[in-house]
Amino acid sequence: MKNLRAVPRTRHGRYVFLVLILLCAPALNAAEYPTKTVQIINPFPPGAVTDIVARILAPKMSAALGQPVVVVNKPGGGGAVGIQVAKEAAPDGYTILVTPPPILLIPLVNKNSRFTTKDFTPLALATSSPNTTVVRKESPWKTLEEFIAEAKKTPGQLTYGSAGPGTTPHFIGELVKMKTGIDLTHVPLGSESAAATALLGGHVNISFLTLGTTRSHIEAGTLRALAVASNRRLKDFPNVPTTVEKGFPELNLKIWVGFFAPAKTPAPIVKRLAAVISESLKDSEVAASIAKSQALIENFGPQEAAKFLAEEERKWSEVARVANIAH
Amino acid sequence: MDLLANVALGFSVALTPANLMFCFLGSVVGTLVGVLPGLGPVGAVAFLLSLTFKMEPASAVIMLAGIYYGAMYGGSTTSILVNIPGETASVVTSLDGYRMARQGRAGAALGISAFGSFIAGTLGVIGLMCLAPLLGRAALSFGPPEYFALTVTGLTLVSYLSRGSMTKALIMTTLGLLAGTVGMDPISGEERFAYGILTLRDGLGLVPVAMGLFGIAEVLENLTTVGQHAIYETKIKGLLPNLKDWKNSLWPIARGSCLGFFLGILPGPGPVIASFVSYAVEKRVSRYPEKFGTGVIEGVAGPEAANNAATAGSFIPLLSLGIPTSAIMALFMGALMIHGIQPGPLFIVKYPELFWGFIASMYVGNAMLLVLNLPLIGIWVRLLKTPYIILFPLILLFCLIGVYSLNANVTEIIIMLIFGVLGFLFRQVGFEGAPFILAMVLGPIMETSLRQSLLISRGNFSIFFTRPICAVLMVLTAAFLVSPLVTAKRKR
Repeated sequence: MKNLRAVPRTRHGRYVFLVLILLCAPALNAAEYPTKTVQIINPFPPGAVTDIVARILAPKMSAALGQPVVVVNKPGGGGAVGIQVAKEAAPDGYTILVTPPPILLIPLVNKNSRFTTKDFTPLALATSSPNTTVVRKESPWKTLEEFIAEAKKTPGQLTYGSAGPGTTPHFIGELVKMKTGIDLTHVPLGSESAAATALLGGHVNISFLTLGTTRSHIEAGTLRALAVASNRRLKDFPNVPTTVEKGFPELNLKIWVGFFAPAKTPAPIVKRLAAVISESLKDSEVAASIAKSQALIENFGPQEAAKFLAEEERKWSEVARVANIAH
Repeated sequence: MDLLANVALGFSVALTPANLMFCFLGSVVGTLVGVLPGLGPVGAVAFLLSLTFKMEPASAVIMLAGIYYGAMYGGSTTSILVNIPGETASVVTSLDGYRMARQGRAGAALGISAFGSFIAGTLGVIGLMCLAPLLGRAALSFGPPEYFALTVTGLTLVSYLSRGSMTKALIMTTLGLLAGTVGMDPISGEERFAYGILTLRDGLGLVPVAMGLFGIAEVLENLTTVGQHAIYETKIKGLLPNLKDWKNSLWPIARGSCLGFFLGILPGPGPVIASFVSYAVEKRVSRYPEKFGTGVIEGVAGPEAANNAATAGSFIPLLSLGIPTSAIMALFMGALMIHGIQPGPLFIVKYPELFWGFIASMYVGNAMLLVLNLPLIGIWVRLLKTPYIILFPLILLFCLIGVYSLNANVTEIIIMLIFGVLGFLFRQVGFEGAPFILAMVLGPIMETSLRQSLLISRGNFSIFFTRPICAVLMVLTAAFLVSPLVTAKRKR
């Protein structure tokens, strides 16, 4: 009997044993992971692009992990509420985050932001949506050059609409101003669709919006795309030139959707989740659904995503500084 | 005729057994969601959105739309019975509806709101059918200056919302406008009055505030008087509106339907504003405006018709232009996008069976809701006999669950409770909640559109008088403000 006693008897020894168990715990968890439901926090309302991407992936991820994967919407503060909730969640792989660029932009805009990208480990850069430079059908500008020429003649007279202060279209607008040397007046409109509405009504002159928002209008001819931010022309819009051919390679912008885990999540779990997301993105059914939702699959793994995000952060920090967006 | 063929196509889609079932399901869920305070259509649609991923696109939108207009039907129930708006668009209904209930006329109030909703819903659908593409384009001519003018007109409605002192109503309006400034500055992005609380960055939520000011305050007020007298002063008289009620309600329903439909088209909280405007209009044209707020059926019929017609109107920008004008429309857009269908200018041409099927299902759904709601009236009215000692903890519980269900955010519950206590104190000294809510709805739109307009005009105020729609609205507002002075003088 004596030999069977596994727990050391002395008081001291018992503590050592406890510490050993605690040290082993994350590793043990990683081996067994997952044993319960995995939550994907979406910091935007249902129906947003993050929500759609996460919900398309969730069933595949669930099948691969053998546990339910659910999408939980925590909208508010332009994404800040949900991102913060994810930051404060236990770093055990049971809470992960799906988010577009605001995870990077919010800390640049708001000095009081209680999170930065350092609080997260990227799992994957799943999809992206190209950005389009659009004017309305009735406007006189047929090409990007014509618009730039007019803007140079009348500095500050022309307006661009954004989804609100500190949002992606605002950052892009300021970057466009920096790279093309024109001056436009920023009119924050509250959302991408509000920006599209104001543009269609002729209340602002130009906007830089995702293809998801503008596509149906470009197809119908109610909006004219002066350029699309991409390396190559889009298959569906072969007549729309790219920002790269127009001589602005820095304006090759992706509005990405990424998956993140809290920074202290154990490496084996990060690896597992990253692999599962990557595999799910390769599924043909997923690919078809994502294509339908007007997004492109990127499928960057953790390292590639981290590199890409560092470059993004550098670019947007400069815009925030030059355009004085931060407060 | 083209239209007839389209309608026939629509019904062929809407009347398949599966779609009939989804329409019914949506209507039932919507009614439930509307009846439960706090839990609004946005939450319910969001919750069911993922279920629709596997459904046919037509079935998906048919079910989700059922939830939306079902909630508008159901929302008035608690407003009338216990003075707690089921959703924000029913705040106005409580002004006269609750008074009617206390006089034993809950059945008449519920009945007229069900019929009014049905008539308005049907008229709205007809409007949607005939005018969708035309009106969608017209809505685009509303830019920031026009919205500003519209909110200025809207604020003059305050004078019609108060029962008692005008001074007190104006104080509440000012407080409401101030409450509307909480949160991120819409132009610079700076935080205002948020005190580092993340939830406040988005501003005070309309639902938690309305639930507090009306629901919680009502419970608190009743607690102070419980045991001293019965909640309902008289016996219940009849379960349906009588002939006189009908005669009084017919025009308010007609006017409310038109107003609601056109205001619904404009972005923003269309149904909420529509119900306020309708109430003001009814009071203005009434031969006994002084009786409004004491239980006049016109005050229920008009706003209820307006908020239902507005739901039909609010689909126009989405279906004809692909522009979601509110959170709920964004959800519909998401539901379609997930099936690879992008609403846009070509939507009606590219997916006729979807567009017309959807519209036909709204006819069907409205009829279902009427059939569903009329028998329920008897049950609701009997509910009023429940002793308040049992009813109030239940109401409180539903308010808590409802607000939490919005964004799963505890801070919003706290906001609701704070406004509950404030609302109670306000009532004790004769200040009313309705002007506060109206100002809180209009304030942020007013501020944002004013500043956007001035950005566009580079600081030139003439933008508000040189644009035709804007100028007309400004002149109307002036007339609105001056006309009571003129009539008052004449009377003297």
